[in-house]
Formats: sequence, C-alpha cells, structure tokens
Amino acid sequence: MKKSSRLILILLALTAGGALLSVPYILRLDGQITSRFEGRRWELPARIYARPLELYVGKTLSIDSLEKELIQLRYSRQKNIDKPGEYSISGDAVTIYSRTFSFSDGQQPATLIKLTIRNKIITAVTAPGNTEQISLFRLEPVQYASIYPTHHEDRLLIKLTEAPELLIKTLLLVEDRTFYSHKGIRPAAILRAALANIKAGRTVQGGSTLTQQLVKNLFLSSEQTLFRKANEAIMSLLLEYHYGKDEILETYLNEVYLGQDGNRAIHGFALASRFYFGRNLNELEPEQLALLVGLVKGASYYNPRHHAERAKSRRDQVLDLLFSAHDLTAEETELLKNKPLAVTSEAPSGITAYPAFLQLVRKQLARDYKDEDLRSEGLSIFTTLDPIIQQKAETDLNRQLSAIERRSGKQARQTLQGALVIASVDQGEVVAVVGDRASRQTGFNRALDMKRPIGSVIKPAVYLTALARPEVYNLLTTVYDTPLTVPLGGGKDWQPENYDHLFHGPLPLMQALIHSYNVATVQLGMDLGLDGIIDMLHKLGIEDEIAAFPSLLLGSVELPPIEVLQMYQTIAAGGYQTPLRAILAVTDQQNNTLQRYPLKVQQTVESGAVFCLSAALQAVTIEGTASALQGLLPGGLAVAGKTGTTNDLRDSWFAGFSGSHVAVAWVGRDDNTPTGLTGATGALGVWAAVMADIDTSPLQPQPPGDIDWYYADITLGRIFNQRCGTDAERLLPFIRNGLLPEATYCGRRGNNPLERTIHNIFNLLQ
Amino acid sequence: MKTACQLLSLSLLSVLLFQGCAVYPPPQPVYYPPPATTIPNQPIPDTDLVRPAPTPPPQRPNAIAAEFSRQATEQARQGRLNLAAATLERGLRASPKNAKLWSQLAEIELQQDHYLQARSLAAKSNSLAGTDTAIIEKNQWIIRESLKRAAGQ
Repeated sequence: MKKSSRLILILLALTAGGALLSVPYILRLDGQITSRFEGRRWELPARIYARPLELYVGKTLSIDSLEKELIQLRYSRQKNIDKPGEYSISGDAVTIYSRTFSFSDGQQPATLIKLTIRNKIITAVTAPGNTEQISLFRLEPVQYASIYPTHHEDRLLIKLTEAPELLIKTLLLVEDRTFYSHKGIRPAAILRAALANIKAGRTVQGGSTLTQQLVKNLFLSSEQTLFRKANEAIMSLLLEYHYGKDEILETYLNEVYLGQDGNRAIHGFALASRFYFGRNLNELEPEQLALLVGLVKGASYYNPRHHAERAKSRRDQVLDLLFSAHDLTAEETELLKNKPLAVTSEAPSGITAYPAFLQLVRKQLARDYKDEDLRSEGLSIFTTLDPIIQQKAETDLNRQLSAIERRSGKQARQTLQGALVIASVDQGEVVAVVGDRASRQTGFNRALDMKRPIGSVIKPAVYLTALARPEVYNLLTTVYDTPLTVPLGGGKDWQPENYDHLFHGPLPLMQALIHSYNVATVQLGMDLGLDGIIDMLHKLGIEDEIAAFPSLLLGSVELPPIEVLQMYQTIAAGGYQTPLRAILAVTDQQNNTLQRYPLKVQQTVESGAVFCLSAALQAVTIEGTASALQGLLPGGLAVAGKTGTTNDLRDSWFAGFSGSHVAVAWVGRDDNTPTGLTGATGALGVWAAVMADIDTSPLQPQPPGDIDWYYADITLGRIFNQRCGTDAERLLPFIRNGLLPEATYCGRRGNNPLERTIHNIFNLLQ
Repeated sequence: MKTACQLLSLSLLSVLLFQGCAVYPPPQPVYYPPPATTIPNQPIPDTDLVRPAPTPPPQRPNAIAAEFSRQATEQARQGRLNLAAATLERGLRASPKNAKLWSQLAEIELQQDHYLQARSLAAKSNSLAGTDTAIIEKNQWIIRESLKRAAGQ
C-alpha cells in the first residue's frame, strides 16, 4: 500500500471514529432541541386585566371618561378610521374601531361602532351608517399589570398567520433572503463572513440564517467561539430536520430580542409593537414595521427612544432595501422616509399603574395559584378594577389631603396619609383601591394592610344588634346618654365621654346614632351584651378575632379599611353579604377558563333590621355628624354612612354607601400622631369627593316585606296616628309585629300645657 | 290636677338628679321630656294608625337587563350554565337591583345543584322584587325546590 493511501485510510478511520464518537453528542443536542420545541416553548407572564367597559344605550358615561379609557387602551385618535385601535370624536358622536379580544366568555371580533353620547348618557350604539342598535358591546379591558417569569422575559405570542405580510417580507429581505430554500445554514455565507472577519481582525459580517439566530437565542450563549459556532450549525441543521420552515419562523417572531425596559426584556414583534408604538402589530404603518425589523440588528444600539437618529437611519436603510427589492416605489420610499419614528415617548411600563389594586389581586390569587404558575403559564386574569373610578379615587384622595394641609397651614409638609377602597354594593366587586396618597408607590398598602382603631364607624354594628331584636328595640326606643361607669375588672372603672364632653339625656335610639353619642352607645351596647355585638360584627363580615372589651363599643378594635368595607357592604346590600372579590375569572393561553370566581351571596343579618339601620345612617348624612355631605354631593344623590374619629384625633374615618357603591376612606398619619381631624373634617371630604366624581346612583333601598311605615317625631320618639307636619316629623320604618313606640294623636304636641310647662322648666334649669 | 302635680314633681326630681350627676351641662338640643314619663297613657287603637306606603323608587326602563336576561336564557338552554351565569353577572353590573336577573342566577345555581346559593340568591331576588308576584312566586319555587333536593341528597 502506498504511503498516501494509508494516510487516507487513517484519516477516514479517524473521521469515522470521530463521527461515531460524536453521535452521542449530537443526540444530546437533538434532545435539547426537541424537548424545548415539544413542550411549552416559553414561560409566559400572567396578564392582569381590568373590567371591560360595557357600552349600551342608557349607560351613564361621559365622553371624557370614555376617551380616558381609550387612551389607557392606547387607541389613537384619527380623523378617518380604517383599522382597529383607532377612534374619532366629533360633537356627541364617538366612533371606535375596537380590537379583537378573547374574553373569558368568548371572543369578540374587531368591530367598528358609533356611539352617541348626550348629557353623559349613551343614547345610541350602532354600526356606522346603520341605524340598527347594537345591544351588547364591550371594549377590550385595559391590561394594567403582568406577573413576569423570574428571568424577566416578556412576550406576547402571535401566530405566523396573524403576522402582517409586510413584516415577514421585510424580515426575510433584511435578515435571511433564502430562508425558505436553505437547510438551516448557508455554508457559502458563513465562509464569506469568516474571511471578511479574519481580514478585518474583528467581527464585521454575520452569515447567520434566521434558523441560526433562533438557535443562538434559544440555546446558546452569545460568545463568539468556533465551538459555539459549530454547535449552532449542527443544531440549526437538526432544527430544520425536525421542524417546518413556518414553525421555525413563527418561533423566531416570538423569540427575537427587541428591547429592554428596566429588567424586563422585550421579546418578539408583537410585544415590541406595543412597547414602542402602543399598538398591536397589525395596526402598524409600513415604516413602523421597518423600524422593528431594523431593531433585530441591535435593539439597544438602535433604541429609538435613546438614539433616535441611529434608529431612523437604520429604518431608512430597511426602507431602501424594500425599494431595491421593488416592494416600494421611489415615491413611497421617500414618503415613508420623511415620516417621524412616532414611537411613544414613554414605554408602557412593565410596572403597574395600579399597584395597590394589584396587591389585592395577588392576595386573592395566592389562595389558588402557585407563584411559579403565575410566572410561566401565560394566564389571563380578569379582575374587577374600574380604571375610571380608580383614577378618580387616586386624584381625589391626594387632592383632598393637600387641601386639608393647606387649610391647616401645613402646606410644605405632606405628612397626612390616606386610604380609600370602593366596591359595588350588590356584587361586592372591588372597583378601586388606593393605599397611599402617592398612588404609584408600591410600598405599604394602607387600604389592605394597615390596622387602625375604627372609632365610631363601628357603631352601626351596636345599633343593628339592637334593631335585630325588634321585640325590644326600634328606631325610637329610648336610650340613655347619661353619666355611666363601666366596671372593667381589677378594680378599674371606665367612664366613657362624648366628643363634646356633654351628656344629652334620654333620647330616641336613632338620635344617638345620628349624633354619634358615645355614652348612649356604650349604655346600649352593655345592655345588649358584648358577645351579641361581636357576633353581629362577624355576621357583618369581620373575620378577625375580637376581644370582648367594653371599649370595643367605641371602636377600639383595629381593622384595615378593606374589612370595614366588607362590613358596610353587608349593610348596604340589605344584609345580603357578598365576599369582596377582585378576580372574576382566570383563563389559560388557549382561552380555556381555569377558574371562575362566581358571585356568592349569603343573608347574614335580617333585612328588616338592616333596612331600619340604613334609614338612620341616611339621617346621619342629612341631619347628623355627616350633614356636611349635603353641601358636597350633587343634589339628589342620597347616601348613608358614618363618621369615625379615634382618641386624640389620630384616625379620621368615613364609611358609607350610595345605591350602587360602598366606600371607606381613612385619613391619618403613619407615625400615629394626632391629625387634628375628625371623621367629618378629614375622611368625609375624601369620601364625598370621590362619590361626587364617579357615576353612582342614589340610595333607594327596597323595603322588605315585614316593614310598616309610620309618621314619627324623631325628637320626641313617638309615632303619630297620621301625618302631622311637625318639624321633627319623619316617615320611619318599623318591623311589623315588633315593638312600636307609643302612638299619639296628631295635634297633641304643643297643645298640652303640662308638657309645655315641664319643657320650659327644664330649659330654664340648663 | 293631682296627677299633674305628681308628674311635675317627679319630672323636676328626675331633672335635678340628672343635673347633679352630669359633669357638664347638657347642650342643645335636648330631647326632653323622655317619652315614657310625659305621654298620656292612652293607647291609640290600631285602626286609627295610618301606615303610609312610601312611593317606590321609579323603575328605569331596563332594556339592557332584558337583553342580558334573554342571552342568558339562551345559553342556559344550550346547557352552557357557567356562561349563562357569567352573562347574568354582567347584566347585574349594568342593573344591580334587577330582581329578574338575580332570580335567573338563582335558577342556574339550582340547576348546578348549588342549593344553598340558589336559596340565597332567590331570597336576594325577593328582597328586590317589590310587588312583582311572578318573580316572587318563581323564587319561592326555587327555595322550596332547593330545600327538597338538598334533603333528598
């Protein structure tokens, strides 16, 4: 055998041996590829949505509120509308081209609708050019938060078929012209690039196909070694062997890195479109698509927000390529090159706009979901947040606190803090949570996590306990605001005092509540028994253990605002308690409903007693401690509620409800120092401001069947046989078959000389 | 006259006692004399008492509730009970005091064998039904049926 042929044989044997030895290695790479592609390809963040805005004839909605919602949804205002994500306003007509959205109960396709809004009421919902009304329509919900995978990659998945044709064309033109014909690598291009790089002494040219780029992004580091390059080539061949071109391209569209937002990495064209332009991919203009494709080369180097000129020249380069490929005419190219980059000035932050509400959602999610599932499964979480109310609540709280500080001359020092929570009355859906006057702060959430004594806000529970015993108590039963000593045990006594340090004598029960008299409340509460009051608090939805101290009757119990909200929800809903909810449904990536959080109702307190209590709580807002509301709320907006103030004016509370919303406001200081504010001078203003601001309906409770009405004198504590027309006369509810106050013939009062004499003598003695 | 004098002195006594105990003088308004001591003890016959019925709140014409109700009925007919329930909840967001929607929701719960919820929702519906006897009767049926089926389990 010749020497040379022996050499060839040895080489062949070595190659064969090498090939044989490399088989396990290649199989390992193959395993890596298939396992990644067969299973879930990405960890996807959970997306959290607000309630969708329903649009129907008769709904109260101002054009201003509607536009705010559209802006949050990143719709763009146009003169002529031709694609989803656009709207126009002209006079009282609003035209909207909605986007396709998968709701938890089904998909709603992109729709062009025209609304007529007059005096803040929707009077028509039609398709443009059509007079037939569309009965049910909703805008897609605002996505206000995400829960990201631990590696902080964020992406919105799209299918290849959903991607704009021009995007695909441009991408292939710029990055890989022979994508549909090569087998994963282009040896000639690699060789050419290698030579160019050697010649320049650094990397000046890349010969990577899209497949190689994808392999690099998915499996390999970015280091430029020969070994990595070899791996990349082998894996690219394997990928192409296993999977079709379309599947590889679709994966590429979703994987490619296109930007950075803090520690959140922006992956894929769909998310990049939202990130840079605030719009969906299929809503983009050609030059915008060109910019996104240009970013593939280097997302941070060409970052259009930081390096606008570089980004523009890169975009124009891409447009030129489209021209040279005859996809654009010269005029079109010039026209597009003259267009501005038009990226939104601020990236839609990965940080939520509503951190306080998100905290409530996460608390409720934690009951049913593992953190890792929330970070990886691409769940959609539909919540009850109403962004219109939430924004108003945030603004009103901060504005009111500033106003209070200005009034008390503490302008410079923003030391007051506040919390505000709002829910719908009958469904218990939390619509807004503000836990800090600086509402974007993600820190301590006073609405959920702060426990403070609730003061007189507790009193309705005491009076309700009485009213729930109709054989003994009604709204006019005499209670005693007279000096009182309560033995506390251990030889100690407690002598409760009123806020005004005065006693008000025997008086009708509802008067004691209307004027929030402490001593009468303690007397009544002690008569009823502390256990009865505690039992009532639990029936009203307070879950915490409550210790049976007499001071409980004046609200020494410490609760967070959200629990007070639950208590007042039960009262507002006539005794029909609904556990407060922030989540409605959770769906998976395929839009299957994983869980629905249905509306649950339980009657925990007799409706008759709650109805009578509500009448008294409404009187509080008309002639009692909260009468200031009359000047703060729009005329006709009947409400009910209760002020609360704690020792030394440390906490200022107001809790109450309209016909459709129940809300709790707290004002105080984090270091628990006195604020100088009562419930009426602090929290009441916050509560009134938001109630006046939102679309809510007046209180019109429906009397239960066991209610009888009588004309009554609420200062004397009697009922009349008929309408009498005295100043203190009110129409009052009483529980049928319960104890009635003494009845008197109308006309007796004032005509009785004896009564007059006693009255005069008493007044003389004061 | 004698009774009147007794009453007067009794009242005066109580006033003085009351004043003596008070640390602070009582302010205006004072609701006095207490009803028990001053009202002549003449019970008024029940027939003499007027029990006025306050005018019920005006019902807004509610086309939207009817539309949700119609849609939910259709969904329930197709056996898509969860979807029907979600639709009714949507309707209640638009029209929260609508007794018909609450009643329909109660019926869906009954169909799903959630007897306790069915009863609670039917009672809630009753509390809003006013004088609508058709709805009240339906709710009573739901409550009876829930109790019966629950007992049969």
